[in-house]
Amino acid sequence: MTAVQAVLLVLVGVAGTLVALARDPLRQTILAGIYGLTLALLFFALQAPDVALSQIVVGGVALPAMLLLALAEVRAREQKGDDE
Amino acid sequence: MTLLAYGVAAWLFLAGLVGIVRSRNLIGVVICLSVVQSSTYVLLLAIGYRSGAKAPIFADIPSGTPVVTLTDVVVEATVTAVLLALAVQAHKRFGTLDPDRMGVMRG
Amino acid sequence: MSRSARLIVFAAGAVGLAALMAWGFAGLPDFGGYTGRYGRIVAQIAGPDRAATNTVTFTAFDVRAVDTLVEEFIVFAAAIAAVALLRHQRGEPERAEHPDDVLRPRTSPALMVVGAALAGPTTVIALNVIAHGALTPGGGFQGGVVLAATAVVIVAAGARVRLPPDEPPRFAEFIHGLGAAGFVLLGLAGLVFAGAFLNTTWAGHGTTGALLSGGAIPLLNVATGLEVAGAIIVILAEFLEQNMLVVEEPES
Repeated sequence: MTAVQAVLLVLVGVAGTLVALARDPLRQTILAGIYGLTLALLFFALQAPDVALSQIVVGGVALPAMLLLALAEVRAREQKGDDE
Repeated sequence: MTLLAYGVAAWLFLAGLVGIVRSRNLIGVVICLSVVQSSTYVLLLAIGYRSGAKAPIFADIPSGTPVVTLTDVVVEATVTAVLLALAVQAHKRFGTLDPDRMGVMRG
Repeated sequence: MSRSARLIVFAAGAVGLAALMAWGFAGLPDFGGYTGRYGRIVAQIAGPDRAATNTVTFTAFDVRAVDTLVEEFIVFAAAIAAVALLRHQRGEPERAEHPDDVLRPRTSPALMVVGAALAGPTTVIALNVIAHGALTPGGGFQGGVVLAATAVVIVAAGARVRLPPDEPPRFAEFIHGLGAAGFVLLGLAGLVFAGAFLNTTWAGHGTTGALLSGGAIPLLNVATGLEVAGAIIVILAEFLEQNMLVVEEPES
């Protein structure tokens, strides 16, 4: 069990670093989704299935969806600005 | 194991901060802030972990920290939405998401 | 301040912060060696007194119910804030003319099939998670986000959605408010029937393991589930500038 937790902790650390260091917001959004799912696995291994459950949905669906929609909104506005 | 668990929490906090400082995009700042926030989840759950215990179902003894984390995960999602809405609003006003160029391009 | 100067200032601060964190974390209990009494006390009341088998939900909706009420209102207020900010933008003429042009989903047939297949099961899972909050891992917060994810699945599947021109109250907003108000009303019911705000014992205990057990905890979970699902759907819908809950037949 300890080995699983150790591996997941390292995985979360690496994934979090990748999210923070990525430059392109779209890439960051995809990485943030993956990072959220590794967090959920870690929570599961840390005796917190309740937290893992909400993390799966928030990290895997809700947050990326909001981020993608915000990026789409900004991109649509930029294209509109270019047309004029 | 103690070192690793708390170390990862501290690392995530600092990595997120580095991301915020380096970022040239407000949406990137919001994403990095969520990394900073998730470090607190790792810390809280690492503190509350009890080796040998079962998951807190059927009246096994929980530590209490999952409860704090549980609500915070959902709260984080909605608070992030507010920040994203602010970022979109800032883009509308300044025509850019780069925090460095915002004050200049007022108009 | 220039970028490099900012990075130097940050580096100095980060070193200090890291030192402080190392100092603070050194005083924490060893990993796996948590010995607090909180959990033991909670476990003593959860099973025998309230017939709730999931001690996490029990703590959230009984022992710390007022705290959860405040968390729920953060969600409530955050959703309203996001909507207010986004709606402020939409009110401006550049966007209001063609609400149908915005972000119209162009969906591949594969996505439509998968989405259509997933929508039903996801809804059932969401309701299941909410309903069994007092028994197994889950509850209003988790089930609520799953329910909101169902809405995402439906939209991702390309269900054509229509933006009704200013027709308050929209369904998701109604759900959103109903959940928040329901939590408070259930708390007041505790005050009236059991003598303390958010006391959950007034609803009876039920049998341990039965669907309706744990006093008012299942009801509070339903309220929270509606609140959270409503909040996230309202936010996403506002980002989409569409009302996801008015689903039309796909136009061919």
